[in-house]
Amino acid sequence: MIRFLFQKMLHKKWLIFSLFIGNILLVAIAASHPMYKAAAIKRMFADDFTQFTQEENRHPALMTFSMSRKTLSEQENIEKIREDVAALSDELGIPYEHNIFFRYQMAQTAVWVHPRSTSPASVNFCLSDMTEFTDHIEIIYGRMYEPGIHDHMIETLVSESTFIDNDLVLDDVLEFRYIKDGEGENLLVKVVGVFRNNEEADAYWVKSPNTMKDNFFITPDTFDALYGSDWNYKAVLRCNWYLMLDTDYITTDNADELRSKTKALIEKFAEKGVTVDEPPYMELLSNLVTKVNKVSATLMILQVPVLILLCAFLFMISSQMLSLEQNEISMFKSRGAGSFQIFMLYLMQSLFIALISAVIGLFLGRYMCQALGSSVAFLEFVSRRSLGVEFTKEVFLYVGVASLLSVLVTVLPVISYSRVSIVSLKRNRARVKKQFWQRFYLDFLLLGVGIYGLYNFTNQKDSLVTKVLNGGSLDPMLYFSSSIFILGAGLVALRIQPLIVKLLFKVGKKVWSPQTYASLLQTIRTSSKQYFIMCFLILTVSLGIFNATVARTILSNAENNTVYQIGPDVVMKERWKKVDGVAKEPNVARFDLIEGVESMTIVQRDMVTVNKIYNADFMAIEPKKFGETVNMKDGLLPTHFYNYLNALAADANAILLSENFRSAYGYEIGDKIILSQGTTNFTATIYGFFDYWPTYSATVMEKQADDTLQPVNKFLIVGNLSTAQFTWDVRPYEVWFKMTDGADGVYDFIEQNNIDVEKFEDRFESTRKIRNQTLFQGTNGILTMSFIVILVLCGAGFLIYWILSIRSRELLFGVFRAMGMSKGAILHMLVNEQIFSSLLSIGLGALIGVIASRNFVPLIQIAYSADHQSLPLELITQSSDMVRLFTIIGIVFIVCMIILSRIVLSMKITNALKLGED
Amino acid sequence: MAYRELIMRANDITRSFPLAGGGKIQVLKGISVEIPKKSITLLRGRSGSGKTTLINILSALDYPTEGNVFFKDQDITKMSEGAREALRRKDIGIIFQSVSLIPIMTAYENVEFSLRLAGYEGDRKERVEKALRLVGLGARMHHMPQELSGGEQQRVAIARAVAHRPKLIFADEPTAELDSGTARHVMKIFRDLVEEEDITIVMTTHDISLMDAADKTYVMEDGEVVGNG
Repeated sequence: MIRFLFQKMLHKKWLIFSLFIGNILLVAIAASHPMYKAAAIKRMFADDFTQFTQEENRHPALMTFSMSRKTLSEQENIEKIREDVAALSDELGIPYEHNIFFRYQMAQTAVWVHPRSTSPASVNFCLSDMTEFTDHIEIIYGRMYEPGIHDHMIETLVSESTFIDNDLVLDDVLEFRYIKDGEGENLLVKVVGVFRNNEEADAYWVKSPNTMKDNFFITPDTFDALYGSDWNYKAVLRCNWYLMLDTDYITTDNADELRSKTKALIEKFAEKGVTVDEPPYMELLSNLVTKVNKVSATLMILQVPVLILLCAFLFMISSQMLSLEQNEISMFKSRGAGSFQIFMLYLMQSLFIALISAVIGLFLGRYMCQALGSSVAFLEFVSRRSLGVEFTKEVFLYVGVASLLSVLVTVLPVISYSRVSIVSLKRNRARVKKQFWQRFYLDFLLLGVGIYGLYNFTNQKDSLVTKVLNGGSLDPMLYFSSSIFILGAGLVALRIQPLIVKLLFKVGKKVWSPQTYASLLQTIRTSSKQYFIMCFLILTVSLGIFNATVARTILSNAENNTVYQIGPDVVMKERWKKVDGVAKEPNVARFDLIEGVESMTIVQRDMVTVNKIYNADFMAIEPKKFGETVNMKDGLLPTHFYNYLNALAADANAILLSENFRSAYGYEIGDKIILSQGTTNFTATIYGFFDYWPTYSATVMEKQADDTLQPVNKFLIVGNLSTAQFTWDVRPYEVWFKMTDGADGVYDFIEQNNIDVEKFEDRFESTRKIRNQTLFQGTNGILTMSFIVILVLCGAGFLIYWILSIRSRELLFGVFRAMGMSKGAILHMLVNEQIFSSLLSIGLGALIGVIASRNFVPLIQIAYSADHQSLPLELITQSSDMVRLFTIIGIVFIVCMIILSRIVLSMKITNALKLGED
Repeated sequence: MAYRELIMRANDITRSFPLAGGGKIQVLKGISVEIPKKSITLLRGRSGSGKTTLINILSALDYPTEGNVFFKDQDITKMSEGAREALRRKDIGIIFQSVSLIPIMTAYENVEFSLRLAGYEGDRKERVEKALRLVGLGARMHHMPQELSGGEQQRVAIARAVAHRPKLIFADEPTAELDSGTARHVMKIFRDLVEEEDITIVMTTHDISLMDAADKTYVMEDGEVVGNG
């Protein structure tokens, strides 16, 4: 039986090959999902932690415990807490990076033993010790301290700032009045060295050495000797523990547990009188978990359609193979083989294929995963730090399920085929059966459900936005609605397609050339056999177009929104220095020196009161320069943006109002309104209304009392800078830059000139960040993968179907040739058939893809808006994607034609006819 | 038998096929036949005697290795492939041993298709119906081939072969898969065609009982004509 199986497989090598392709892709995609998810989440965690460290200059997993030792008798308690803190890491299940015990005596006064004329009268400082102190410092002056008390004197190290601020000199000796050595004498302290941190960025330094101005560090032994005995039993010691967990070990799996355990720990320590500062990860994680859930839900949802498509492909190939082997199956049956034996034969074949594919697919999946991690846009990859991809248990589970699914799908059609004996087979061939979905009108039902979903979600658009901004993910039902819509529309198209062909046939019945006539008839009469390939083509093409549009649109939309919300390339607001309590305007002209600035303008933002009643945002601009500096897309306003600016420039008191102001309060162009701030005001004339203005959103989401986000109307008034500054004085303003090439010049300038920046926005960095967001990257990656898989399946399906269809009709072509049809005419007939079935399907698929994109992408896009959508959505169908799709189809079509021509041209009539005589 | 004008003449036809293991097998070893107009000519012989190969050559489906075939005065072995295709479309009709109907077309459409191929000028509907009535299938003309019995299918094939009024019809074992009653009926149809439609028929058979129905018989054995009458 096994030998027979392999012979059979060898005989059908192309079909088996296709099964392998489908299987491997299925496994690879299934395996890449958990791999990518795990790696992406890991990266999200790492990125968030790194970002936190950079922005806040704090360790994200820093727990600070502090308490005071008031008398020596509490020492035991301190030791106990020290042990408890050390055990925390085990209790939380996460190793620590640092466990630092920082102890010091509360500030004491000391005086110089040999005061200099410049020395202050006395100094306040604390003798301190920190675990592993010496590992994290370098001595810049003097030498390292030594332990021990000699002649009532101990050695100490101080930071650079302590050294300078206290006017110390190396080997200075200070005397404490209230700290005694073992002999009851006043303690002397000698400054033997000055230290600084030996690494610039070192998490160890919870407080930078330069801010520890009162701390004089002494060796741990000296510290223990001074405070561990009853020499200074009344000394009040401050004890701090800094426990920094290793963030690499914080994952989605333990995040919730970590949060709840941490919360419990804080309470437990509080009961012992220890003050605990909540670690930053408590809040970070709560946001991260929401984000991660959103990402993984989205990735899952996006992958489902292509998985279904792959199963359909396997089902199609398997059915195709079975229908070719129908004769063999029937022969077995008539020789007494049971349905079960036939079933087992195919089951073995499927298992064999599934097993090999699982191994190959696993590795292909890993490769795909790496590719996913390096996608920046649809069908665009860059080389970047690779994802840490691992084969986890979950990966094997997914592979197992995928393999099981493929076995099921390929074996499923066997059940119906294995029941058929040769007699019923011949009977069946004569009948043209209607597909079950047509009999039960499932196609219209599916389409209806899809349209209902669309209608429903369109009505709930606003609540969808709110939900997403509150942390929700892409609604699975919405995405499924789009898939169901595509499937339903595809099946309805299958009803329509034969009608189109029939119409063509009827219209020219009298005049069709014999080859056109035969091909039209062939398409009509065998349509039931072609349903699957046609359906498959319609679905692949429509999904391909849909995916491409989704990917392109969400990314470009997010980028456009960001660009619009930022306004120019770079926004910088300097914090003005106060001179005599008044903020003083710095010299703007110095920014002219910045390299790469194309143009620059001042934008002053304030709140104003309109007619002493309503509040509105006020943006004061220099119209000409503003126009030269901002990035404003064409087509957002009814006339060109410059016309609005010209109107402003023409009249110093001219203003422009946001459209919602007009609808809310009923002003018209030409109306005069009073704009005031405090007691000063001016009368402005309304010159126009706008829906869009750089940075302006008509509504913004604001947190309500119940902690949810709700849209709130925003009014904006734009006026002349000169008028505003004349009326209300010069206030701290933003400087907007247009750059020739990137914002590097501005960064350099800020650093070199030590500019105190209050607000900074950079369009280049912001758009880059969007592309790097896991949500966008994963979406792009998955949609790209799906698109490529679709191309492969489309090509393979098309080729396989046609070659098989031709091979099975060789006898018929012999008859045609005998009747005097030329080879060219037969080829023409085949081309016609392809046009009527495949190309028509592809055309219908493209149409469905476009319709689905138009209607569903605006809704799906919502799941990707990090912010409230300011701009109208623009659907992006990049023609290059369509070119790619149709190029592949074109190539497959041509390859198919070449193979067909070769079959037809090499066909000998007499041989072909002989076939019929066997 | 009275002298009749010849419609086809074949001189010294040989045909050899290359063998898979090298070398050649000679299937026809110098055969000459003459086909009189308005007659039924029988090529009789056991299987393997070369009669199918001969009929393929005569009907312009295959080329001889040596020798010539004249249709009227034209040597068809020297014609271009296009001209031979045109010949098959217009002047020749072929009926195969096993059923060779186009499965996606009804009986009517099968017949009409040959008219389309031949570029038939007249009223196609009338001609198709007449051809089908001639073979006694007027009532079942809109059935699909699968819905007809073997004999009925063969009769549709005959109607298709004659519909475009070819001058010559070649039939390779047209009665082989039919019972004797049906076979006799087919021979009767052939006879009627010769009488009514001015058609010449060349057919192969291994059935001795059909000898009476023929005007002329060539007996073939091992690639040679061993007798005629």
